[in-house]
Amino acid sequence: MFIILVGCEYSGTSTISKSLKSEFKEILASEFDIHDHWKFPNIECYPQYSKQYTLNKTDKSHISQFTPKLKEMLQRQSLVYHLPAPKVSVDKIYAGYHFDDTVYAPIYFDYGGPKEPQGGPRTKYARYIEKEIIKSYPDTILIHLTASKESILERMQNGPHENQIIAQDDIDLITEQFQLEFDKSLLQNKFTIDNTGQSIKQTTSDAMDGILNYCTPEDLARLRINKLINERNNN
Amino acid sequence: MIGSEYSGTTTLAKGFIDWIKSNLGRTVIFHDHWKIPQISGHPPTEPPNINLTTTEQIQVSKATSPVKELLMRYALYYHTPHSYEDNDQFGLYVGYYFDDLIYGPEYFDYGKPSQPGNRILEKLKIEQTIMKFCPDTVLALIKCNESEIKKRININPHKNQIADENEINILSNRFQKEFDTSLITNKITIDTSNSSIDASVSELVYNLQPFFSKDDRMRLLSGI
Repeated sequence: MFIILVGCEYSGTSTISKSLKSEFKEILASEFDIHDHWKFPNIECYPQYSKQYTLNKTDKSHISQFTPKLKEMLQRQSLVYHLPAPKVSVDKIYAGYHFDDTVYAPIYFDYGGPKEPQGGPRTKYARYIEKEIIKSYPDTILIHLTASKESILERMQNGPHENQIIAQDDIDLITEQFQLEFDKSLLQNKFTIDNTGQSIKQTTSDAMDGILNYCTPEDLARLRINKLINERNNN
Repeated sequence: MIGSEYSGTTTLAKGFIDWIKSNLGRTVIFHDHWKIPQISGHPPTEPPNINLTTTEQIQVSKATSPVKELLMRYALYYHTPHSYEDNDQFGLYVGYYFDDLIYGPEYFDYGKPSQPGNRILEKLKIEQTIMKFCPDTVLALIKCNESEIKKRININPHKNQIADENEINILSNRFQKEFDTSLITNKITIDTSNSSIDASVSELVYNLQPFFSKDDRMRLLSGI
């Protein structure tokens, strides 16, 4: 099962990704792999077989100082690196992925605009990424998390991110851009959850309902088998 | 196409591209940007807004080892085939993951077995992917003896030369070892020590014959 969760910073993508991972552990007995590293300068990712590392302040400052061309190259290559492999069963949740790159790059990182020399405007490159995803994983589920401006401002004040990208005054613009990209997305299994005023549990439950709605027969079989094995183990 | 610095990989690759264009009429996807700090762009064919500027090359050189490791790993996988599609394109990569595997741990302090992104494991992963999606890939090791390499260094030193003159034999042996243990099954070796560029290109083409595709053979025969 391949799930992409997108939305404006503070819409809850990271929180709900973690919550969904716990749910899937329970109902599918599968350890979903979360990739949530497409917001500069937090872009590091290591394969499971590798020793892990968290970029320190110096590493991050070097990345932040990169020219737009280097930032563009890093993100483009990271996006392609993370395309799901064909004919391989994956249990993965990507938070942000190409949407973060497409929305934030032209506004905050000075690349990916209408004159971008590498692959054209990012909104165009996002469709290329989606075409590649569809080739390998046509049943990918796209979830758009939204929240009211007031709710985003409140979360921003209560738990500001260390490397926050969005500016307070840009919330309307950013949410609008995410909506535009979501509408244009080629991924067909998609739905939106407005989590304004919702608890994590409620949003997770709504997300699970949507996901189950788009489950493949194989996913449904996996759910039933896990339930069956649990029942047998408990008896 | 792999080999230690000054063995002639880039020169031979350019000669081979000319041969492909004139004899097969094919466009070649050419990537020769795996030696830090030259890790992007395809000079001189692409405009300056694609190639890295001096400032950008300095940024890459001065980046911490973990950042260099990420830059290189993302670039390697970006260029690794990732689908079964047969697009009839001819790709020629110079250095590629061999440069990264050998120079990264030795000169840029990343990718050692004790570090994140162990390059021995990445080599294995990349080669498994290549053999899955492009099993017809041919690996060419370009060799050159020590005295000739020293001569080339003196005549035309590289702007960002990586290795020292004293390390020529060590690096040549390392390329040989990685070539020998590669999972890629179609392999050829060319020694450029005493050959002109044209002679080396001819030798390369001669040795590549068993690996030409059916379409390539038809193109050669028909002169298209």
